[in-house]
Amino acid sequence: MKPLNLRNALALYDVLGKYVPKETYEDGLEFVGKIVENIISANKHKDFVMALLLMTNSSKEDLLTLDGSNTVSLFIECLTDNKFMDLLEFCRKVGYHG
Amino acid sequence: MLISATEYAVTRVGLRKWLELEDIKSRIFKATDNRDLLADAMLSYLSVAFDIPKQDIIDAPWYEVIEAYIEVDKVNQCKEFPVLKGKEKHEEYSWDYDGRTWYVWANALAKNYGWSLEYIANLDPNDAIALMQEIYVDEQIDKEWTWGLSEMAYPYNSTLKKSEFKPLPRPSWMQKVYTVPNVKIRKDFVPVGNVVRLGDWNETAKPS
Repeated sequence: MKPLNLRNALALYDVLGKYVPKETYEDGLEFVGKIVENIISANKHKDFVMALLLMTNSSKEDLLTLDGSNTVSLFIECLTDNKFMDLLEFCRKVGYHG
Repeated sequence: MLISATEYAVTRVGLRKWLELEDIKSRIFKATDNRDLLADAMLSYLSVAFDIPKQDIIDAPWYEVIEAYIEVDKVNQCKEFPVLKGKEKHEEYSWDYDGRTWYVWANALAKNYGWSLEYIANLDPNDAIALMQEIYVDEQIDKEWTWGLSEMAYPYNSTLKKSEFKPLPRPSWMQKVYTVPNVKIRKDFVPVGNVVRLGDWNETAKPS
């Protein structure tokens, strides 16, 4: 999977930024889990799919072939590959708010 | 510095490029609500620094672009000259245009030192800023001399029934920095009870 370029990384921040927990998490997995939890509780599954589409550069049809747990692990893998925590730090430092 | 598997050398740039990079940097911090502008400004910054077309790095992983930006910015840091800390707002003139900053600097340096544009363009930014500061100081002192010779510098004070010298205001970075001196206070003048120092003011120091 190819890491996102800057423009798409900022687009990812635009989609997921609002679901980032305010508390700090030492464990990256727990952090991503909380993001997923926040998306689910906001009932915005569309944003989850949108983030996955951005990161995987695949079509909606391809994503629909994956089962639930595979989708979540793919989501976690993509966020890790794209250094999402570093992206948040960068956006905070530069003052980017989408 | 590796971007998209290509090695780029991070070097300190000359004055002309430095001014261009600073202009782009201000664009970066203004584009905090527009991802297209922010990404474009970041790529422009590296494009200028490395002398490459933006297209070469447009698909590079975002973190490589940011790492390169941080590295270039670090290498091109300048000393903290007082002239850079001026609080005056930059007035917009009808004769302003994109990229004018370089010509303002080149004009001032060429006029004062007789250097060629090429020589000025390659000056180290630290030297150029220091010299520009000296030029501004000289100009201000000259203006103050002329001001002191004019009638406007001695307005009539009707209360005192005489004219008083009114100095020409200096830009903020030329004004004296006042520091509050530490004054010893007699013990019996010190307030009784818990003293909360404003400098230590935080959540824990707040009175309940």
